[in-house]
Amino acid sequence: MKVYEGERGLSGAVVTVDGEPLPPKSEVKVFSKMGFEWTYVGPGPRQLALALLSDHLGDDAKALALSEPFMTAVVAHLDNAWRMDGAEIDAALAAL
Amino acid sequence: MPITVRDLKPGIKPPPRQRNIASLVGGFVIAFGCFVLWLLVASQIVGGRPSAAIIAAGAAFAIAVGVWIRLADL
Amino acid sequence: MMTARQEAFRTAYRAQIAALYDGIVHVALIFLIGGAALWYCVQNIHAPTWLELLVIPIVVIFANVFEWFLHAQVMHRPRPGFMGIYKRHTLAHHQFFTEHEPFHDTTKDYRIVFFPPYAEIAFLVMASAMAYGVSLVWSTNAALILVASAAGMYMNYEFFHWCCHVRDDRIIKHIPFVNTIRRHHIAHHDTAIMMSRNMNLTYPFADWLFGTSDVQRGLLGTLLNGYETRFVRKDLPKVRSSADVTRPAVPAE
Ligand SMILES: [Zn+2]
Ligand SMILES: [Zn+2]
Repeated sequence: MKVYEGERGLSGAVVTVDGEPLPPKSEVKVFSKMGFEWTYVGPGPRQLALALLSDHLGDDAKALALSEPFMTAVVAHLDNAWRMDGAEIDAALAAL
Repeated sequence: MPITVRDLKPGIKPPPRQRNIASLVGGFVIAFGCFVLWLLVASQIVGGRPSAAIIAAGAAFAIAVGVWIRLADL
Repeated sequence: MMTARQEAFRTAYRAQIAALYDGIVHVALIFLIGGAALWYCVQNIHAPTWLELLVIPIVVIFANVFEWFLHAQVMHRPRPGFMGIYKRHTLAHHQFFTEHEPFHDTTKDYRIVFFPPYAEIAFLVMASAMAYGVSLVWSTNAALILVASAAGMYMNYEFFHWCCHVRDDRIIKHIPFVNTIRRHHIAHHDTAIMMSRNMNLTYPFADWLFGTSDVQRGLLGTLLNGYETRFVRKDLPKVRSSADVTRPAVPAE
């Protein structure tokens, strides 16, 4: 199962999947040109929601459709440093 | 300048320190600001146009502050 | 209590501070620049009218809303052209100081407590540009009062923010407004609300006005709340999926 991690540091707000940079999925939709962010509702968190769901579900259209509620319910509450696995994303999606 | 806990695993050397562009621009900005303020305060104290020596001292002070901002990488 | 992550960040951040940096020089510059601007303006104000003196409260309120706006929309949001400010604040200041450990240790740490002094020059230039306009349409007195008030508010801001991050509160916990902003700002360092609440750094007026304070009180109660936690909202969010685990206990030998 894949592990997603994010952390704010001097090099930026970095997000990885299994230790590799998470692709922002800007070819699906550009919400933010300034990269990922979290713990609020806005363009950076929206991009992160899309990128996480797209990587996890492997379905860009479904990810795009679910990105707004997923951002509000999950991404808007992530800590400075956070860690989620696929099961946690599934559980969060089921609770939407 | 990666500073995350993941990057701080033992064995990984911290990257070499790099000066920020902000302290370069800021150095010029503060030198200009300090020089203008010096002139204003000096003209207020002497009640007119300050002497060349006072102006030169102000320029030296302003440059010193600007250089320090850069060296201290503020 | 500091988490391992915060401790690691502090170590790494301190290692990046240039050897020639000096916290006392940094603070001295801020108050010398602000003090010089304030003194020069005051020296040149002559017999101001009541209407001209009204510029002071107007600047105080305007600066309060400006500080709130800048903190919420620039310091806490990645925006093109302003990334340096966001990085310094959200990605550094808020990683160095948390609501669990919001205090600095040495004057070297002033590097991350105070704004760089050129920010003050930029602020004074903005105020002077506005003052120039005021001098054209109104009076030199009003213009000078505007810049003097702006310089005063800037130093007020830096002093109050230091009061939030200094460990020893034996005196400041008794000073009205200072005790309020100290609790208000330390609460802001909680990740769960740092992107959305408690954006004022002097007097939580704009936070009260726009409903972004973590306390639910009237204006006077909000401004003079002190350390009181009875009025903190019950519906504040909590963080989830935290990887910021507390420092593991030292294993027994
Ligand atoms: Zn702070
Ligand atoms: Zn903040």
